[in-house]
Amino acid sequence: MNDQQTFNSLDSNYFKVMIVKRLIFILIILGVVAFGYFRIEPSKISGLAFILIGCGVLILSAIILFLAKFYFRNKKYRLFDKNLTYQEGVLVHNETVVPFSRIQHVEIDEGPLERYFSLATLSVYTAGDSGKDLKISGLRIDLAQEIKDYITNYIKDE
Amino acid sequence: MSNYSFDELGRQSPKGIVINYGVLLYKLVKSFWVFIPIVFSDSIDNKLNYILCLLGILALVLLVVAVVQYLYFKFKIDGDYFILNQGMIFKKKTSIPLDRIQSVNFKQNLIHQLINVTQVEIQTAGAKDIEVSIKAISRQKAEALKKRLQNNIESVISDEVLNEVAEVNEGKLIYKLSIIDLLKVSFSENHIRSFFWIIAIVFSFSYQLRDYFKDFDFVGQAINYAVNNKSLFTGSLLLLGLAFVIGLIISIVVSFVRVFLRHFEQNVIKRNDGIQVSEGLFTRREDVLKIKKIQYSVTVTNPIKQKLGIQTIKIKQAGSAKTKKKKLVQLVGVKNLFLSQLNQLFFNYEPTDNKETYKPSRYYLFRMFVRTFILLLIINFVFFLNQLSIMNWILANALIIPIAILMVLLKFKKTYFDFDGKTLLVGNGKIGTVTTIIEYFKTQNVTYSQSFIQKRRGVATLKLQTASGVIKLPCLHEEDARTIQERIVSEVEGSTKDWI
Repeated sequence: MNDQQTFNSLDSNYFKVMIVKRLIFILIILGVVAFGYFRIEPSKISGLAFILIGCGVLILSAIILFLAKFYFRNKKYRLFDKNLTYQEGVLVHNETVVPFSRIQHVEIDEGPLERYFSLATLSVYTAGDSGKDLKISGLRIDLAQEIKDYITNYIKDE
Repeated sequence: MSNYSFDELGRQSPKGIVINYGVLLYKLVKSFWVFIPIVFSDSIDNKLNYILCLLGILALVLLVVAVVQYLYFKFKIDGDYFILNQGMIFKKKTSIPLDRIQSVNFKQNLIHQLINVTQVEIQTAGAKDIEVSIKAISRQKAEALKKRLQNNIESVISDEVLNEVAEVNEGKLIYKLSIIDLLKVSFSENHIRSFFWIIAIVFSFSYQLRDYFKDFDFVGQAINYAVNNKSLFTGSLLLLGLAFVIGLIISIVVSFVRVFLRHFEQNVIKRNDGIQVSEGLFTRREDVLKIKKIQYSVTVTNPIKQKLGIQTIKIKQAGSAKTKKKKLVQLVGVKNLFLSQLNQLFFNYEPTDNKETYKPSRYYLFRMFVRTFILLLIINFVFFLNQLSIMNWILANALIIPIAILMVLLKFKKTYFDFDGKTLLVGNGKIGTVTTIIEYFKTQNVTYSQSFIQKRRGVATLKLQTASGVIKLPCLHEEDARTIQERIVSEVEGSTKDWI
């Protein structure tokens, strides 16, 4: 189903999803700033301050969009003999190994944006602290289903 | 009763819509209750119709959401799995192997009772305490579902039952805390910590009391005095010294009371598959710990406790996040002999001579110094804001800086990671000594974490997730981190023992 030895990258369409998500985020922030600009009386905060804030937001947006490439590049997974490994992160790079024998259950989530590109998120739960388990976004739906079946079969046979 | 089939994807009872709707409305009210008074205020009177209209639309939308939730909530039992599909826009497919299900519980609140349905909650061993909850099905169907699901967990259940029975059976008393031990424990508690708590409480109270007792406000006056006469070095020092002595005496008394209330007559009884701890002066508390459920233990001691030959053991069990705090069992005043006995009992651990010891890289020391330095900068900034006199400023720094440096050096010295057979020992602590003991096959997953600074220095941090919290091995050399990671993963994969 995929290469067992090396790490696999995510589906290239997921990069688009990441960009769109970031753009939405940026638009919301810009919307808030614009709302403030038109609604708050000029006597309270000067127009210059808003221009500065706006510039700041734009620069940050550029950085966020620029970094998206690296974040995407660093997201990798590996389905090994008896474990699932996932890498991610740019400033802090994390690699988490989840042995199949500790997996409680597996879940597939599809958001509307992901579904448009026929992608899905595979979540793997262990008994560790919730939220610290594996979550692999940007897998093709059929691949996610395949991995899920593979793992659930392994758990069952154990 | 058995005419219910769960082999096909099926919905819950249509009454589930009512429950969904109720939950949604409750959530709405809960998140917007702050705005409720606004509706009843005068200023908004002329817009009341407008708001009611808005609320009506919202209620209608929520009704649609409730119906959609109901329509897209489908479950079945497929072979050895419980399958649940939910969501129209955000689709979610869950499958739980039946043998991972720990318990199936029924719940009925007022609405459930009114419309005569039952909520079924399916719990697995994960830390997320309720994994699946089916909001509304009829009682008979719930019973049938429970029966189907529990065919596989009968073994677990009989275990629980055995446990209850075991409580009736007599066990063997293996440990009892005498009054003298209790005095030793109270005396050697961390008084400095209670001292800071008391300081915080006194300060917050003195500000509140100031309003009520303007004329008899001694504490307030003392503080005022200290604040107004900061330059009077001797005055404030005397005051500080006095406050310190009084505070220390109070905190020792508090420690005694606390320890006596909680741990009075602590005793440990060994049962066939676990231990039972009971303690307390007025309210006796009883905890039953199953050996299998114990994930790791943390042994804490300090120089005074060491002199007295005692230590505290915190026992970490697997459990849901809710019960974790409550279920933490502490054995106080444990002597060395009993400690090794417990380690043998819990982890089959006996110290050997061929330990493999790992130390963090020197980068860890460097990082701690940098962090301490930043903290010192912040403290000095606070001093600056308070316009501390030069004399006091130098004095404060002369006191704080050596202590801070000493703490960092001690912490670095006391941090180690020992592999002893199948057991991992993690050392930690500053003045006190903290030892974490885990059979590392109980690890749930391992994260190899590296910040970009760590990468340049060739070090990495390992995080071992267990069913009872995370154990961190900070700033190991890259090769060491990889070796340890592989060692733990292969142990987990190869182990056939149950972690719970």
